[in-house]
Amino acid sequence: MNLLRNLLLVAGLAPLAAAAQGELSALPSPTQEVRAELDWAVPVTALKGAARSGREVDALVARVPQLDLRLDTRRLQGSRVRIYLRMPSAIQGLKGAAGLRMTWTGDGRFEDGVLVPGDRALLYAGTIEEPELRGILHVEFDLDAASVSGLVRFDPVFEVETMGTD
Amino acid sequence: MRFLIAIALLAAPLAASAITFTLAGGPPPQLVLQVGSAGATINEVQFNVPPESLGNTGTQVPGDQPVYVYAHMRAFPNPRPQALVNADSSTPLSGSAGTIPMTEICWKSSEGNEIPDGCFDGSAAQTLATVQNQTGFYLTLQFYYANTQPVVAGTYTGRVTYTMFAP
Repeated sequence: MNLLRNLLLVAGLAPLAAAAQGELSALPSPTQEVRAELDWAVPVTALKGAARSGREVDALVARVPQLDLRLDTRRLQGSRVRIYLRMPSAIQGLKGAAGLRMTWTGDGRFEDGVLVPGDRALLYAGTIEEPELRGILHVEFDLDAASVSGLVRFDPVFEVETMGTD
Repeated sequence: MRFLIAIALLAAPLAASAITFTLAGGPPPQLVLQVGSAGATINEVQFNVPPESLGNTGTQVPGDQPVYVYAHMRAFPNPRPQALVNADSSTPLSGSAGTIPMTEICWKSSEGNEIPDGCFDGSAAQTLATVQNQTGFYLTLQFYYANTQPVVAGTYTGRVTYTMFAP
């Protein structure tokens, strides 16, 4: 038994020396399918005052003012982790990666962040104490209408790095 | 036990995200056209013909100020092929001594060539420029009085109306 316990302890040191990486699933919740309506970022009344670049005129915005984000952290309880939000590099309905930017502000539990396709940004850093990590995000998507070819749709990926245990 | 949990995390395949973002809908298509100053101001360009130019046909008389033109079309997600910028110059300049056709008023473009150099044609719908979807232009028109025909001395005024529409 002592030998077995020692083997497990040695094996268990590996995640401490180098962070373990994996994806984290989001819990099913009312906000699981998040839909936001596109609108012009600059209203037409604001365009009359001065010349604007085409990029400003064609800028679209979509907002999710209260995204109730719930992450299933049951398997991470007691672990020190960093959770990242990654946007896929290929986005349905988007011609180029430069045409979309996602910005969010957290409620204190989650970090603020900015994200473009193919990138990731830190969403949470700390010890997981509950089976569910939950918070509110105010999310804004900025798009260039010239880059949008149809319905824009994507699944973000939550990546977790396990730094160790407390 | 915590170490065992860490090992399981490494070994077990983890589920993908269960959140999907969908950005849909679309605002109404919009045409933006500004000729001259912003707001309700109607800009006035004056051509002061010096005595030595009276009747001296062919001596162009420049206007006293340039006029800025800004046009843009944005239509999403159902783009229109193009929009047209038209001018209605069908009403001639008029004064106590008579009238002068608007065809005597011409312009040169700068800072852009979307509206080519030209003159008003005196029609109700002269197409000056076409604007493709998600594009636009900003340029300056410097007007001048062509002075191609003798007129009676006096003050003549008139108005040209610009419109933009997507057929």
